Amino acid sequence: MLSRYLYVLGARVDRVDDLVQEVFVLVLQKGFEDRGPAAAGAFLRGVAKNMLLRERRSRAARREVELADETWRVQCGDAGDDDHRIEALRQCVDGLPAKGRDLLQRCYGDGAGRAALGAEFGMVADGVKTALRRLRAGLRACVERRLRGEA
Amino acid sequence: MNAQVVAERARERMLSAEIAAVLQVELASVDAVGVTAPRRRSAWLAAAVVVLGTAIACGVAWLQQRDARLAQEPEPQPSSREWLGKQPQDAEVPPLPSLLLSSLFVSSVVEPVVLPGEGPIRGLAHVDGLVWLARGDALLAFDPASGKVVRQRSLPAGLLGLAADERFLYVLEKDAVTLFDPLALEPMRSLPLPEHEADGPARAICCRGDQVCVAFGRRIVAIDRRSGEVHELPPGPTGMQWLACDGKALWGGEERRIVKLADAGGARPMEAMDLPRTMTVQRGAGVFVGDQLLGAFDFTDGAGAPQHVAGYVRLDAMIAAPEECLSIKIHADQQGVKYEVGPKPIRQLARVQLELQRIVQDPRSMIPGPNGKRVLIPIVLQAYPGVRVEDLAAAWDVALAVGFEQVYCPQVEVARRRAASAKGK
Repeated sequence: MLSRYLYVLGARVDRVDDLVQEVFVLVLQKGFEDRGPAAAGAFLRGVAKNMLLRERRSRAARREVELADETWRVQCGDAGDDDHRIEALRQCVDGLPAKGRDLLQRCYGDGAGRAALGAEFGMVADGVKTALRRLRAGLRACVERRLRGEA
Repeated sequence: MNAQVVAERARERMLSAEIAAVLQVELASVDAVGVTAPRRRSAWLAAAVVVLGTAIACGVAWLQQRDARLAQEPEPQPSSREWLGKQPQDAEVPPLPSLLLSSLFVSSVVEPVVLPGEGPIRGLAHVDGLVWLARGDALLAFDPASGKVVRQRSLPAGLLGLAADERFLYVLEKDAVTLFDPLALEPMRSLPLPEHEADGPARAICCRGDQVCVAFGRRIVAIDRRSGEVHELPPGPTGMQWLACDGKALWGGEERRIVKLADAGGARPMEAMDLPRTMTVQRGAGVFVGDQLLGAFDFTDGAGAPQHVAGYVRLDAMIAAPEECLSIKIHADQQGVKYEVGPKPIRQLARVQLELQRIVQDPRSMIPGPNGKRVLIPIVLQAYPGVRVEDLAAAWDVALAVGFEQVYCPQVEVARRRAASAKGK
C-alpha cells in the first residue's frame, strides 16, 4: 500500500521501492508505537510523504506532492487505506468482457507491445491505445459506482 | 501546474497502481504503458528558457534591493518602561490618543480602501498574493495592490466565514470547514467542527500554520488541518465577529473593539484597540496582508445609520488594555502628585507602595490566567495632564518592585509605537 501511495504522490517508479525501504528503516531507527493498523498506516504515509518532499526542491513540485496527497485522502476517505478500492477494482475487472480482460492482462501483465496487441486483437496500434484509455476510464467509473454503493 | 491537472494525474496514477495490485504485477509494468500524450520536448525547452530568464531577472533585482532591504531591517524595540526611561524625565507624559477619549472619524483607525463587489461583507482571506472577498452573493479574488478583480464566482452555499493558508481556501459552514482549491475553485474535503451547541454557532475562522482556528462565541478551537485533532485555545471576548492571524498571534473583532488575543502559553495577555465611539460594527471581517490588517466593517454610526468602511487598520493606535486590571490614576495639581490606587486617593509614593503590598497579599488579587493558573492582577497606569515622566516612572517602578509582573501604560505604549513607526519612516 505504501508503494502505491508514493507512486500516486508522484515518486518515480524506479524510486518507489527504495523510498519504501527508507521509510521502514527510518521508522525502525526512530522507534514506533503500535496503535493499530489505521494509525500505523497514517504514520507511515506521513513519513513517506515527508521523505518524498525532501527530494522535491521547488515549491511547485512540493505543492504537487501536497495536492496529490489531498487527492489520495479524498479518494481513500478518512481511513487513508485503499484496500476497499482495490477490492472494488477487482470486481470491476472480473465484470469486464473477456476481450477487455485479456487486453488488460496481455498489456499490463505480460508487457505485450501495441503492435503485437494490435495483431492479436485485430486493431491498429493507435486503436490499442484508444481501447486501453477507454478501458481505464470504464474501470474508474465502475470503481466509483461501486464505492458509492451502486452495483 | 494547475491543481486540476495534478489531481487528475494523481487519480490516473492511483488507477495504475490499483491495476498493478489486482493483476499482481510490478508497478513498473503498468507505468511503462503510457495512455496519455507525453509532454512535448519543445514545451519543456520553452519552460526552461522562461525559468532561466526569470531566475536571472530575480537575481539582478535581489542584488539591487539587498542594500535597501538590509537598511530597513527592524531593530529590536525596547519595552514601554525602557522607552520611558529614555525620555526627558521632567517632560510631561504624552496624553492618551484622542480617539480613546472622544468620538472621532473612522479614518482615525482605518486607512480606507475601496473593496470590489456589493452587499454585506462575509469574509476575507489572503492566499498566493490575492485577497479573496466573500461579499453579497459573490466570491471575488482581487490584487490588493491594484484592487483589480482577477477571479469571481458565486458564493458557496452556507458560507459563514472565509480563511486561507498557503494553498487552500477554507469556507466555514454550520457544522464543517470545507477546503477549496483556489485555482480550480472545487471543494477538496471537509473538516468536521467539534460539538459546539453549548457555545453557540460558529462565527469566525482563520488559519495559523497547519491549524484552522474557529470561534464559537467566546470559545476558540484550533483544528489540525491534517489530523482533525481539536485543541482548545484561551477564550476570546464575547461577540467576536471575525478572526485573523498575523502569522503568530490571533486577532479578533467585536462590536466596538479589535483585540489581539491571549496566547496559549499565557505569555501575552489580551490587548485591545477601541474603535471610535460612533462606530458599532454589525458585521466585520479581517485578514493580514503582509503585516497589515485589512479590515472591512459594516457598522452603524452615531445616528444609527448603516455605514461601510474597509481599509488597513492603524495598528499603531493599539493599546495594551487587559480585561481585568487594577487601575492607578496619576494626577498633578497644585499640591503635587496624587495617586488613585483603585478608588483610594493617596498623596505619597511610599504609601502607594504600602497599599500595593497590601493588595499583593490579598487573595482576591489573584485572577485566572490564560493558561488556567492563577496570576496577579495586572496594573494599568494612567497619567493625566501635567504629570511628569519621572512621576509615572517612579510609580511604575514601585509596582514592579512590589511584585506586579504585568504593568501597562497605554499612553506610553502608543507613544513608543508611534516613535518607532516615525523612526522607521
